[in-house]
Amino acid sequence: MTPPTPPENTSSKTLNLKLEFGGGMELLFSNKRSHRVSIPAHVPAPPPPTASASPATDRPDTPRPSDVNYLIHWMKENILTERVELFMEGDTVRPGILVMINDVDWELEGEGEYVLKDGDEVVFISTLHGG
Amino acid sequence: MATCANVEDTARDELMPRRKKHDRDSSCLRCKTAKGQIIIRHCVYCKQCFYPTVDLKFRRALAQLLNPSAQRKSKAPKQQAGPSNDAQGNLLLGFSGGMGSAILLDMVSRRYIEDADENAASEAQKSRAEGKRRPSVWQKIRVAYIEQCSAYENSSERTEEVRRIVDRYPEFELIIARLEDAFDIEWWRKQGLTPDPATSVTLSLPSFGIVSDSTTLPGTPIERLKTYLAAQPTTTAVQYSISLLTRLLLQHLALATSSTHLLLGASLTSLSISLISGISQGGGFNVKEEREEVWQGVKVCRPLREVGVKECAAWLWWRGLEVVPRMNEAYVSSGNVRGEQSTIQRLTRDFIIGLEKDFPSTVSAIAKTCEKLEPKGGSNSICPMCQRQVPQSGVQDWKARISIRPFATMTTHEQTPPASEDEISEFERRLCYPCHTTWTSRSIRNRGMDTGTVPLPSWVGLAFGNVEQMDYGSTGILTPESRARTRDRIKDFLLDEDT
Repeated sequence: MTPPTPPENTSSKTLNLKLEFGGGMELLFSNKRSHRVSIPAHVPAPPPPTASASPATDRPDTPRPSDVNYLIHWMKENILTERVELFMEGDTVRPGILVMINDVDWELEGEGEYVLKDGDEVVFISTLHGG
Repeated sequence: MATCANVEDTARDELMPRRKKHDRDSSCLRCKTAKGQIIIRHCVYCKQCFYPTVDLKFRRALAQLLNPSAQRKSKAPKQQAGPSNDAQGNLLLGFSGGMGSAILLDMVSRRYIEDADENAASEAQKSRAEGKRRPSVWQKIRVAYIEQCSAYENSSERTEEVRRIVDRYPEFELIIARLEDAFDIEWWRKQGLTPDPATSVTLSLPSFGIVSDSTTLPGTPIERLKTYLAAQPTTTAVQYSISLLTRLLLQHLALATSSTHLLLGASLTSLSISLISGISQGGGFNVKEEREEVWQGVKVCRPLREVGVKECAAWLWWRGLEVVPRMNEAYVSSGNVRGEQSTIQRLTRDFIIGLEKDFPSTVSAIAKTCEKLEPKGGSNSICPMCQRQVPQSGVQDWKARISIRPFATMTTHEQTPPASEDEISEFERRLCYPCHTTWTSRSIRNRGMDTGTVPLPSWVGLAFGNVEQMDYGSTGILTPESRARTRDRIKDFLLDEDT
């Protein structure tokens, strides 16, 4: 189901983003080249640790701001409609997919650790349909 | 100081800092002022400097094709590198719907069709372009697309999407052919290709004898194509065959349209993939032809061979270009592909794409190294299937010395000792190594045909002349020249006809 167009963000709890797909990537996302989505502004807290967890284990007490890594996982859970292995490999995008954040190569913006801001435009371009 | 005892507490502080993907700061390497927007092999460029950088690579590759002698002598600075106006005849652009070919159309249009090029290298070019059209290099530019849907089950045509994309360039004429046209002599005649193969040829399995008899062929070209692909023993062989048919159809279309040059949209990454997968299948002798070749007077070139996929993707996006997603990807998404993941081409592609992410210069090194390779020994024959040169030394002897297969899985035919030179069919003898391997390799599934007749592409018939149906030899192998060879062997014992 296509997410409805989010209203103007008056709360700091969500981020309104524009996602664009090129090079054939749209095939994996309902064949739509442009999506407007609303994601949580902070990464949801992880599930509570089990009783056997070591006290020294590093557990974030405060939620961290949503970054591109989180966005990728959010996309996989919410708007990806075709085979996940063509989009993701491990915890990041599959090699061969160029990601641009506000028209800039994500490698210049810290890749998956770039902290998203309201109104950001993230583009995913597949290079797999080469030739 | 960190020790093994307290690794967990200090692990966060002692993480290795992420290696930077670029050599200097994040400003543009070329103009030194603008903020960088893309990293290409450790170099940062802004969008405005990115265009001429990529365009220069394209023009340099094209200039080598159009005027190779001038390029070797010229000491002109890089900014002035560009194609000369020495090209004659027509140009044919191969369009697959993919990223490289979409960019190829855009670059050729910008360079040779548009009135003024905002990225022109010099003021002299700008003033010459002002007020009038840039003089064209070729007389006519056509775009050829080979529809491949017949090779796959449950796949749809893409010709309308291709037509919509090519319509953006009104000066280009679109020609659409289909993969099954390779098995259609009527298509051959309609294109005005000469010489006329007269009749189609078929391959008799397992003897690999050639039979020429049009009455025995299946009904339609599509059925012939499907039979041909069904006869391939492995999925790698199927992919190889589809690529081979596509390439040769494009080359024959270039001949039919009197095109002196055929340009294909393979990028640096695509070229590296095809080089490695070709070598993996035994095509090392034809490494040079993967980059550039001259076939029956048509110069086949890949002018994007120095442009990586990342540059292609950025160009595609910033120029607002569209692609028609490759059929096998769409095919994959429908879940109908069987075994496509394990083809040599697919495995090579995954490896090279993964390599480019972390080691982009290595992918470039693959293409540059292969450029320097020179096959040992010459060639005096052409493979009837792929139309490329065959090494002079016997392919059969080589395969007999190096082939390794488990004896228990070999068929009765394979378990017999290798046939002598005289008993090997003419077809087998004239095949190059990768084409021979395509027909004879065996996989665990052994999905190919073991017996029967297989239609062959029309150009194979030309390689064997106007072949008539020959008598069976004593071994039951159909060989077009068996009668002539036997006569030659016993000529000293024949009585003269006069006596």
